[in-house]
Amino acid sequence: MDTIYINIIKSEFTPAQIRSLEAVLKHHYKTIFRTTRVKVIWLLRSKLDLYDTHGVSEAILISFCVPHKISKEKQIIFLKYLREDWNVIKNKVSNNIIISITHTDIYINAKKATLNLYGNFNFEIKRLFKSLKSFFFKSYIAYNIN
Amino acid sequence: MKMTRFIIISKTTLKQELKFQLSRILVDASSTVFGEQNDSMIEFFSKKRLRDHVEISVVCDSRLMTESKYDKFTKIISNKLSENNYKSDIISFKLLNQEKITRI
Repeated sequence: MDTIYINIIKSEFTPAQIRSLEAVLKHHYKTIFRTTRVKVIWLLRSKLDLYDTHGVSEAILISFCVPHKISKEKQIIFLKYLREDWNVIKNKVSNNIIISITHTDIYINAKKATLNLYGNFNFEIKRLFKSLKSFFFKSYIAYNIN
Repeated sequence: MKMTRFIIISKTTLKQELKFQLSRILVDASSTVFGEQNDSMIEFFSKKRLRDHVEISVVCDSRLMTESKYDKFTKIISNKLSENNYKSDIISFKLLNQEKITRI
């Protein structure tokens, strides 16, 4: 299964906007990349938790964890469609979307290396409950990262 | 534009001033090692049930980070941390490779 992590500022989107964004994202992903299963995880951060070369960043960071290669052309088409829909839903033109494609799950790797035994157990239980909740109630999966 | 990502995980939420200083140190170190054209993105996470240290995961193009560059990179950061009176022994590094990062 492919996983998409979307790192956004906590109060930036309403739950309804998040649901709409997730729906368009999944739609474009399935149409363009033709993969059957994709999981979206929202990482909600505070305004001052992301920095770039120029200082505090308000960028939206989208990370795809895909086990297979994605061609450059397909990536460009996907980004184009995604940005158009994103701007419509957000009702604002955003030039600050960063996309990163990874072949390993960098968040899980980073987290597992740093959590203690109880923390790891707790994290896995939480992950399971969140996945079940999203499956049964058709809700989105979100984590407060701080 | 090539980008290096840093995922910083700590037990307690770091103070704003420290986050800012750490981000500057990482940005400076990556532009020294990879050149001015490299863009950096630093993400801060905190989780209560962590071991007592700050872990910096470096995520970048596998072809970009050679062993010698990685050594140079960690050395620059350790030096900068001691210059700023931070004990570098609480910080550990981990290299995570990734294929592509694009700003659109």
